[in-house]
Amino acid sequence: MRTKWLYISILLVLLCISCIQDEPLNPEADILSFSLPDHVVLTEATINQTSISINVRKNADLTALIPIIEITEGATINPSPELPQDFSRPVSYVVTAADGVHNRQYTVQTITASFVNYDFENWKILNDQYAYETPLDYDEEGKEVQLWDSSNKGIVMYRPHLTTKEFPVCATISAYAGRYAAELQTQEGPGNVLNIIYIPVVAGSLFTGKFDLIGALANPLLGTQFGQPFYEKPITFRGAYTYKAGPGDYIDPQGKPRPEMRDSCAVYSVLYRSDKDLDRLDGTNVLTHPNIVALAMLPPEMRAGSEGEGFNSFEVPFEYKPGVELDFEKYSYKLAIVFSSSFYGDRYEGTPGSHLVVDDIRIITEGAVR
Amino acid sequence: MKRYCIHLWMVVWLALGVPQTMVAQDAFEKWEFKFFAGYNTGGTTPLPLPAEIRSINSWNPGFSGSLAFHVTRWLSPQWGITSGLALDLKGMKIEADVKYWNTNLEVGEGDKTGFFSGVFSGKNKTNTRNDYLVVPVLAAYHPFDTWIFRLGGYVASQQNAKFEGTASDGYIRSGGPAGDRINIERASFDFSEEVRRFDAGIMASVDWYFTRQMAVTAQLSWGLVPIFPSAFEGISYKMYNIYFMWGIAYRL
Repeated sequence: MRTKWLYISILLVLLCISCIQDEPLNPEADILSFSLPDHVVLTEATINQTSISINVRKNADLTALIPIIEITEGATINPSPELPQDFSRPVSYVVTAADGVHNRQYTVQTITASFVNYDFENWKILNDQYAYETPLDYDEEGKEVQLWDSSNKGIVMYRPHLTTKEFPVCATISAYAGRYAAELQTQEGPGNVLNIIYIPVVAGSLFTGKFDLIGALANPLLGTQFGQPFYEKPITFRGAYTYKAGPGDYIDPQGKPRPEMRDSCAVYSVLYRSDKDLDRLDGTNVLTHPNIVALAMLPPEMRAGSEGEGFNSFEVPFEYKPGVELDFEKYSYKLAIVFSSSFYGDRYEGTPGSHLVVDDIRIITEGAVR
Repeated sequence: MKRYCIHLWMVVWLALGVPQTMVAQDAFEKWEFKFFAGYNTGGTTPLPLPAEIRSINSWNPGFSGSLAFHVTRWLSPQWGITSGLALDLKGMKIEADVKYWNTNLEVGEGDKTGFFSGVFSGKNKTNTRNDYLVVPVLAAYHPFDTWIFRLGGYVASQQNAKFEGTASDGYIRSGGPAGDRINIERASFDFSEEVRRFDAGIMASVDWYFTRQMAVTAQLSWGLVPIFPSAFEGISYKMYNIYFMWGIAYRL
């Protein structure tokens, strides 16, 4: 008799342990997709974490547009997407999760023109959780747009508490012109990350486009999504830089020193056609994809190091693929500008201490030449 | 470490074995010595299951044996006190679907070590096996000829720990559930070093003697000390060793 009770109580206890509780309310709060009416839109919106940018026609009336927004199931969004908004200015939306606790604040910015001048004068912390800064640009009307992204976004995954200046990409007052320039530095990496990847070296990389964390751990080369919409024919890539390779050994992706190799920097710009199969170039194809139309790359001797202590100017022509004609009516194009303190930094190789500063970047376009 | 603990076990066995020869033949046997061997099934589990765990897809106790020696001093024909020593291997392999599972993982090596904190949704596999030297202190109750019940507590010292697993087929949101999303195909973790050296809890057992010497024995040991120290942040909920043992006992 007693044993029966013992068994029953044990059974009850085990049942109690193995009860699956009710599913918690969804705490996620994402904008999954965003678009504006077809008659104003030029290219699909870019959702880069909480900043959304969308290229629109130059003379379109943006003052009262009703967007189409898709959000996480069960979440709510404020203001209501059914209300018309003036998208000639940045518009904020707050998505609140079904649990009512967690929320994400998004900012939508419309872009009307190609950006051709980059002075790295304005840097801002875009995500309050982390201290790194990202350069921002302003259009003719003074509207803030985010065109650049950097490897800092990957660094915070394992070193969230670095100070602004400790990140591999930051602003520096050693500028060529104006107050600030962009400083990129190759650093020792964390090594083994959760047995997913081995990162012996992290390079400072700064590029137009977005660093997409979603797939970055599985394949880091897919994380760097290069390019922003561009509506003019680029002729020359111009700017000023200083570069010194780090003093120690070159480290390969396995973390082994390779004294016979020397680090060099990446300074290049790529124009490519974007279509339904190719939204953006990434680390796997940025120099090889068949959609590439033109490339302007700093020559190898200049990539190996700048002369003297101060800034060196550079001016590199865009080399077009033979027989390619640009047709802005028929196709959309994107221009990527890429800087890295180690040329193969995206493969986690390079020399810690390699140091690149860039400033005063100009894309001279055909219109401007005329 | 394992060899050391077996040696220790034998020393204790011999030491406790000595009084056996001095058992006094009274109205009842004052001393009783019992060996038993069994199989632990159960879990190193949070209690109750937190809402983060959405479903348990598989569970396997693995090789989780138990070897024990009990000494009982009978104070009357019905009541006695039991103590002894056991080597308990407590382990399981479990596969679960988790959602919004809070974690704070150490990543990187040496001085470049950092912490990655976030919430993971996806599949979790955990493989744990912790070896303990267990000392029980139990009240023994002998109501009928063939049945002996025991209830009390135990203290245990962890000899060898394994707590490792993978997180796969999902994504993690950095910083919190509204953070940025990063897909995880497969990541692995190893918290073995973090497992607490000490455990203690409640123990209950029952023996049913089907011959004068041999019994079927069942024992529940319910840990009350979380297996990870409170400073550990890899798993946001507390986990306990809750194991049920089936075995065969032999009374000398």
